[in-house]
Amino acid sequence: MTMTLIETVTVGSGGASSIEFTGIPGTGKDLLLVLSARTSTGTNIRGVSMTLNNDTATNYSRLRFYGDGSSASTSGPHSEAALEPGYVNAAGTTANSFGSLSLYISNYTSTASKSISTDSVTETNGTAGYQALYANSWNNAAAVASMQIDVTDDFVEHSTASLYTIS
Amino acid sequence: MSVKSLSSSSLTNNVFYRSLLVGNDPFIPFTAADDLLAEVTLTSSASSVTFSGLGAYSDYKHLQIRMVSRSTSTSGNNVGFRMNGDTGSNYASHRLYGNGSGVFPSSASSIDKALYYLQPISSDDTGNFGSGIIDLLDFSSTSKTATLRWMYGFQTTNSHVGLCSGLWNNTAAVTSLEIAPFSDNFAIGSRFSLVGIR
Repeated sequence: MTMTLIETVTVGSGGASSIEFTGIPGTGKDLLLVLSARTSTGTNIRGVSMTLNNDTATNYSRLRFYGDGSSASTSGPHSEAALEPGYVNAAGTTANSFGSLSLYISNYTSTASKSISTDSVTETNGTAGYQALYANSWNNAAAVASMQIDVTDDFVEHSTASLYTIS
Repeated sequence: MSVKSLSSSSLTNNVFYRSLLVGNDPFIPFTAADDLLAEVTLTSSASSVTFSGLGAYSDYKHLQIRMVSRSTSTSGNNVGFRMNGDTGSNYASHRLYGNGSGVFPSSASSIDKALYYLQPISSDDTGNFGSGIIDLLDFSSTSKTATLRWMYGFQTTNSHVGLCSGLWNNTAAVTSLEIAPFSDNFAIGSRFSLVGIR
């Protein structure tokens, strides 16, 4: 297995409403995204929203399994107009704490639907820390060439996203 | 990449090149994004394993620990993580795990280590080790507290699988990471690999 960095995006002063990767090369077999992020509003968590190739049609589906430090739940599968790969820290959590998320897209240049698995955690010095596992799919024959990552309101400064090919 | 011959493209054709590449693409050495930085395999049982001097790896963005471990304890299967030698109550942890009969979320705050990593104990199947991968993103940042994210699992007489996290509530760059069972020792054959990710 060879892991190659495509790009790391670091959110600068003032925050950013989204993070985008474009021009993703088709040279790997799989893609790995790691995200260390926090949002400018909210209490405990914010769900991350993601589209691929700017596709906003209802071509995504997801199955979720998560815990919040005191209870566990599962939901789905749901058809959606965007992926929900997991959670990051919201503004009400312990200061300077950032969520940690890993997303894996298998066979991202395949003409078949893409399988996407994620795990994410949010930490805080209190009860409401979240652990979430997602199974997603993108029902589209195109190779993944771009990735748009959004949250409600903004990613705060120092949030980072690193994208790798795995081959 | 097609390679232009020096003899056919520059000398015989009277083409003037300003570079010895004579029109070829430059060769850029391939750099893998992940490197094994250190590895410890126990030849005798040990009460802890510490990766120190992590400041020397600041050209890496993220760190990952890959663990294969087992406890010598007859009862205690918990493993704790401490950073920069901090033994104060500056940690929190959360987990979501299953053991074949249920799903169990829980949390702990203001504790003296990050916890909820579990491993087999001495009464579990002989020679069976648990495995786990622990991610620490942006470990050199001085703008973030440290968040560990890990998955672990083992299939023995007492089986577990879990997704967990740990907070070190300090924005210092992480320069050392101690991994220690709560009781007794890591067993012989336990292995701990430190991987740097650019």
